[in-house]
Amino acid sequence: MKRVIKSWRTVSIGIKKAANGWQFWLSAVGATLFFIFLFNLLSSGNNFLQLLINLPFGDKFFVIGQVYWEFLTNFLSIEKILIFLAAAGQGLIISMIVFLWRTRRRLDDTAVLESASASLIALIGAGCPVCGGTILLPVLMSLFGASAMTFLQSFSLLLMAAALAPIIFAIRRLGFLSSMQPKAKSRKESNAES
Amino acid sequence: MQNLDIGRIVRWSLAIVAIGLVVALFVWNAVTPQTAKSVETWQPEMTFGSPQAVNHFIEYVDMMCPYCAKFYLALHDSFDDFQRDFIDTDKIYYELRLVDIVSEHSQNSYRGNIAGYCAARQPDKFWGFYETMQNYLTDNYYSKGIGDKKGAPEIPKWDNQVFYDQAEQSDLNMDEFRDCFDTQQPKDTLATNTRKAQISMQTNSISGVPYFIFNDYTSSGFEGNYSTIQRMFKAGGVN
Repeated sequence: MKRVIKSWRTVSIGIKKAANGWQFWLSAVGATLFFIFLFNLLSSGNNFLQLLINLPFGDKFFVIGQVYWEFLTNFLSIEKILIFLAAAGQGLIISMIVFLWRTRRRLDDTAVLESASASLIALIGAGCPVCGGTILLPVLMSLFGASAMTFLQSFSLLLMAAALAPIIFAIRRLGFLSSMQPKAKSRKESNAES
Repeated sequence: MQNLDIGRIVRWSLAIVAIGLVVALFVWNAVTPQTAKSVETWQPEMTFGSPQAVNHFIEYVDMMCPYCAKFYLALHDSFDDFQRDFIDTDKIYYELRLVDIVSEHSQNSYRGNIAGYCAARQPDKFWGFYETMQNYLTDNYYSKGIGDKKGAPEIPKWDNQVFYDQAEQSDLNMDEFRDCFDTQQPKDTLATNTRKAQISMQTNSISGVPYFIFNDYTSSGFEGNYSTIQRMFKAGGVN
């Protein structure tokens, strides 16, 4: 237990180090907003997605606004909280990947993979509150027949929760790496070194 | 140096893909040509407007589906506008198709749908009953976070008396309703319509209700308000 606390203390030091700059917050907020949009776009069945595709240019902005509005107005539900946690986790990961890339000039492949798999799991889990189905329905129906419907709703929520696992692993890995880095180098400094 | 190049390639590739996706999304179908289609009406009692209207808006619903209730309430809240702009002008013929899609999730779904078909057997009584049911569900459950979304507590199994009460409140002939409901008279119609709906849903890769077909526009699920519904009409080619 002590080891776990100690390791997360190191991770938090890494995160603090990475967060010491406006670029970190810009990319974190931007990525979080993007993922909130992405996960919620599919969480209303495919209606918002179809509207986004089929409507003329100006109306697409209405749909984008509506996606965020629905997220805010339904925020106090398990599903939306899980979506927020997954999106904020992704925002943090992407910002830390950018921080490490700026300081080490290297992408952490494992963290990128973990982040991508978390997005995929969350996307599958997020779709979708139509009555009687989710994105997974066609797949599960072909495997389990009609009985797939009975466990589908809880299964999609579990998937959303499961998406948080790779996110936590990625944050832990990136936090460790960040804790070993000096502060972010400027582009000039980095170019001068290489 | 090699790492730097890979980083650059990845960064630029991601940026190009992201920009490409955004541009494609905004340009694709920017002007959507939609064609009005002549479609058979399943239950004339569950329609609104003139069958001669140019466009046929079809909504597949289950009586116990909360997202179907959201659509109904959003439409109902601005019903005068809807009537004035789309029904009175014969732009839209609205048809509701009651199907048994969520009975695996809700213990009341099958009986709720049977009750809906029983109400439709009495002239001009279906919409009143549908409204009473949706208001009852919203006031007693959905507004309290019960059965309204994924992960919410389930609505308990109702006694048949709940359906009788709603029917009575909707001014239905109770002898006729009880006779129809207790003997499940519309069960074959419900089964046939559900099967037809499932085939249509499979064809259009739709996984649940509410499921909408409006000319060339098909979608499922609903969140939003009357403005969202207006956009759905627009996506189907009607302003």
